[in-house]
Amino acid sequence: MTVNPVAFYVIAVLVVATAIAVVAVPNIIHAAVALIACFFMVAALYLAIGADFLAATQLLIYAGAIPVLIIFAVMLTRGSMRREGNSWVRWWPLALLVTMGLGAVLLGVFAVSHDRWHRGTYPQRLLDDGTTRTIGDALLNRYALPFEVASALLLVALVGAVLLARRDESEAVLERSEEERRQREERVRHRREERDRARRARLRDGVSTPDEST
Amino acid sequence: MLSSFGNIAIFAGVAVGIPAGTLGLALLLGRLLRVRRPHPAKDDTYESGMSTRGPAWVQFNVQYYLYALIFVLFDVEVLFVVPWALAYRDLDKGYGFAEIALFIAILLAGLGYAWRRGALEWE
Amino acid sequence: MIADLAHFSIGPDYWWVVLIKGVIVLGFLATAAAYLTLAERKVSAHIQLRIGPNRVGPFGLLQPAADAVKLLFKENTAPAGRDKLLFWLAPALMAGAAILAYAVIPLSGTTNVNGYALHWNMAHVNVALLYVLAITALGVYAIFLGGWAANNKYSLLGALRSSAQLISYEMAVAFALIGVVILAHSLDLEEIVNAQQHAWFIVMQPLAGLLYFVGALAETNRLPFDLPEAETELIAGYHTEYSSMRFGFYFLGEYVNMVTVCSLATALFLGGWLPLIPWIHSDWLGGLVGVMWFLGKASILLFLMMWIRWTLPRLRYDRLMNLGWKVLLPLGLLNIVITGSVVAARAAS
Repeated sequence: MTVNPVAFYVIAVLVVATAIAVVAVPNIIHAAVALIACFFMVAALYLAIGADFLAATQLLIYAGAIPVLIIFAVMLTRGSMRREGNSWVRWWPLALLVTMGLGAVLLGVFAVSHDRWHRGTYPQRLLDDGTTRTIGDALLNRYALPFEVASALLLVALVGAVLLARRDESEAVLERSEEERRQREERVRHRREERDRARRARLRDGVSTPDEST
Repeated sequence: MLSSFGNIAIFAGVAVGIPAGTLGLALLLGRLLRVRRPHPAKDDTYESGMSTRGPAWVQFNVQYYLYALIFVLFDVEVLFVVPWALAYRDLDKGYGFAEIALFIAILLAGLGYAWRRGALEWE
Repeated sequence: MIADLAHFSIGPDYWWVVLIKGVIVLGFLATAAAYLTLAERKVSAHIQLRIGPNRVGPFGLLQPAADAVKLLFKENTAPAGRDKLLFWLAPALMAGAAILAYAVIPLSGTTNVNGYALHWNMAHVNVALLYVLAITALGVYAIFLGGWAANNKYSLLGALRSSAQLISYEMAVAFALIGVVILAHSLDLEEIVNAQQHAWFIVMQPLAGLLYFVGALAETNRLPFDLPEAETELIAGYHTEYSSMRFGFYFLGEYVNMVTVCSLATALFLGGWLPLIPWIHSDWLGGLVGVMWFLGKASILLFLMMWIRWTLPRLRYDRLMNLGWKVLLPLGLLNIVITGSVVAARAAS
């Protein structure tokens, strides 16, 4: 199993380009779209090295679920959606430093590993059957405890999420939107009642109105 | 098998290329054939005949966010269960079943908690 | 040179075979979507004791063509406050995701043509089931971004509701499918169909089948779950501001999605191309007959979806969310436990 170099470089360039777009685009929703594209491309990268289950995971969780969370979080923050402000934060030199440090660590690992990371041959079995079943075997036999612990971890995350987003923390905000919603509902109900009355009147007069919404 | 994903790339090319071509052609023809009568009312946002007040980009209910959070967590759980389901037939059944039963029990505890705290309640 | 090019391949398939298949599938999906709109109008008409479209061509059969021409050439009105980029991108994403998901659905069993293994899908991949789930999940963005880009209150409300609905039911659908994976021992759709030689999975997994179908109705925004565009409340929901071909893309995406979920349900639960009347399956003719069986079964499901749409009223939003989280999701988990224990019990005996 060798990685097709052309595929790798095309995908890699796209990953980097979309990643840059995420931080450089001023509109936050556009940045989220770029993030989705970036995650998508990373999934393609996983495919290129033969990790099909990992790619599917990447697609489902990172491309399919996390951005939904991010977008909903954005919808919660008032007014930030339209602000086409400066996307550079005040501490960008610090961010640059951290990024360069991380890059240095990665390159260091690369340098001291002496190619060991790609010595192993990729078993033909995995290419034919895919990696999912093997991962399942490993999860349930050798890594059974981490498997269950992962479940507990997710439970903790769920409890945390429920606590965090609970009502009383954002009481004021909620009350306001509650009030808005009540008014909206009132209007909708009013309109529906009027429509119903009108429809009944029409039916009484014997004029039928076929539903032609398609 | 793996390289079959290359096929999907080709298909994506077809699925983007042909509709885009058709659309471009139609837009071009449309521009040539259609009468052009711009009117400010055509650019209005639709609001049931009223004049629009304020932008639509306002703050929204926290409930949506909560659903999204729980969704992400359960999505991760699905991806833990899938490899188990695939490997199940080759496993020692009692052991494999005990493992997933525990996993799902913990999952259900989370769901039960969210349920009891009213996180699943749409207000 | 030409010969070299013809034998060039990315992996096991010749690129030109894939290209031809791609064009056929695209044409098939577009035609199917167009005629589904006609079928929907005819079905609704007959349910409501009307005749339905019957002017354009015999029995109105050319109506979809007329509609397509109209959609393509109609003026593209758009609100001034829109997000220009996403206002185009979102509808295209809707149609694109729906079409791409179809790439891995096998319409018939692999047939041998002069030593070449012809797959009846675009790409024969191991993680096909996860791929379909992941790609259809991208539809959430098409709906949300589309509603957001319009800068219309109805659109945004519809978009938010719809995305919350889609993610809730995606969950339930995914858990419902685990039982099938346990029985078929594979994520490859072709192997899943082949595992149904003795009994269709709808017989062995009735609960999962029901959960999947209900979830599919919600995932495609069909009644009784068409809250995102509940026209009495939200005008047309997320696509209120979309006209001309932008609307056309949403429309196309919606109907292609219907085809996709029904095809997936056919492959997972109704035995795919496996015939009710035995037919020897070796040459390309056998493969074509398989396709006929597959499409026949899928059409029944499609008709069922239309029947439901024109019969049932719409659910209220809170009830919709409750159904997803408090009924379908626990039932999906229950199905996993039941299937797991039955398989374990049968192995023990």
